[in-house]
Amino acid sequence: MKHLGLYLIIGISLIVVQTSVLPLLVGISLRPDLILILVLYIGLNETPLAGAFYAWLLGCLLDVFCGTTLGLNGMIMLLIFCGTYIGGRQLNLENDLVMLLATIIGTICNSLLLILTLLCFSEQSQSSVLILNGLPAQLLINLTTVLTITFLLSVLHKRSQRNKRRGTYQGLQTWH
Amino acid sequence: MLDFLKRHQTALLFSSLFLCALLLYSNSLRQQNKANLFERGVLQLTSPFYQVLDSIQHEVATLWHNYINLTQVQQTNLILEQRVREQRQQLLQLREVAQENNRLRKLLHFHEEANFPEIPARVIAVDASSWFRTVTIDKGLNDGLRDGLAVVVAEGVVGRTIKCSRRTSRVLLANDAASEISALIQHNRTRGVARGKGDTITLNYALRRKDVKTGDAVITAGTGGIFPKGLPIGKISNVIKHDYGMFQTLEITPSVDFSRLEEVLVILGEQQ
Repeated sequence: MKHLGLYLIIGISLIVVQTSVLPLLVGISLRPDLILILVLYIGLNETPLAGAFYAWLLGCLLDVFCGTTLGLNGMIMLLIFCGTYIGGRQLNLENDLVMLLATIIGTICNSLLLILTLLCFSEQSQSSVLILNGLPAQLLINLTTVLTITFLLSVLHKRSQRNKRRGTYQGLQTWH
Repeated sequence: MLDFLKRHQTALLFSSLFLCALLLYSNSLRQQNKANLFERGVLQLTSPFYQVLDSIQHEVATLWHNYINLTQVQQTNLILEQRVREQRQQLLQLREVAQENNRLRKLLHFHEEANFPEIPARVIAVDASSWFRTVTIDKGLNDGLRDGLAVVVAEGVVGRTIKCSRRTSRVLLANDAASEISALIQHNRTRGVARGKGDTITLNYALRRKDVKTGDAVITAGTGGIFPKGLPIGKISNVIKHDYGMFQTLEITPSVDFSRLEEVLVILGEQQ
């Protein structure tokens, strides 16, 4: 329940950033898909059932601010979570490169699933050309975002470890 | 049986969740333009954040302009700098006011020409994904908006409202692939359907035998029940005639720059 609340807050914050802050900084046409990145992270770190539910919910949240049909991204995020969960368990999750790999495959799968769903269920066939044209740029910006987040997190992790070590050293001095 | 269920518990639960997701999606397909309780709730929940972010953005922009002025002024004489700073600030503010005035005057001019009640609105957010073309405006059910109202600017058609919540509404832009507008070519009254294509719009189902040239203006036909007749959609930029078939496909350059939308007018309905 705690995780659900946390992911909901993070999801809503990311969507607000994606729809109103990022367009001012990087423009309308090229923005990272933050919810997709969050779902990929969930796929690599959460339990299957809870993770699947979070992914679906986050996708539905995204649908409120994206496109016209509720449930489109919900369904796609659920499938992406499933793929990430199954694929991720075959790899060493401690390695940072796994998230990069997941981003590449996740972004491509997201676009392909979107095209497939639109072709099968709706009459928006013109969207497929648009999505395919924008895929390389979307892939690049998603990768850049994940790289930036990974770099920032590793810097923060190193700093916290250094502080912890310093604290231990001071503790030892006090002990002696 | 119980053993089988236990063994495949995860797969079965995942399949049920996927089935739920599919059912929700297929159900939503039938009511694309209407906001349900979940959507209305989320939109209502997030609207204060958007309002706050919008006002912060204005404040930051003003601060940034002031900061730039200040750093420039520090390099020159203090007294002159003071005057220059004041004048520049005034100029910036005046320019901003003039631009806003221009935009609003255009809207007002449009308002005077039009015979139906409208309500002005500000664009506060864009679509969450790069594939779809929608924006969020700061007016909703409380302001008299409802689903399926035409949204325009002085240059022409912007789109139509979908999924209205109490304080905000989403607008499906005319260049979205899901958008279809009944249109006609102004000079020879050739009818067609203007469909979004991302950055451009295409006019489908225009009769092949009709003489159409690049630069011809395309306007709303007024037959769809949403857009009043005669609103500009754009100008024809390319004529595609296939070797066979009854129709020709025409590419339209929209008259509205969808990437720079700030203020819009929502047409509440034709005058009684």
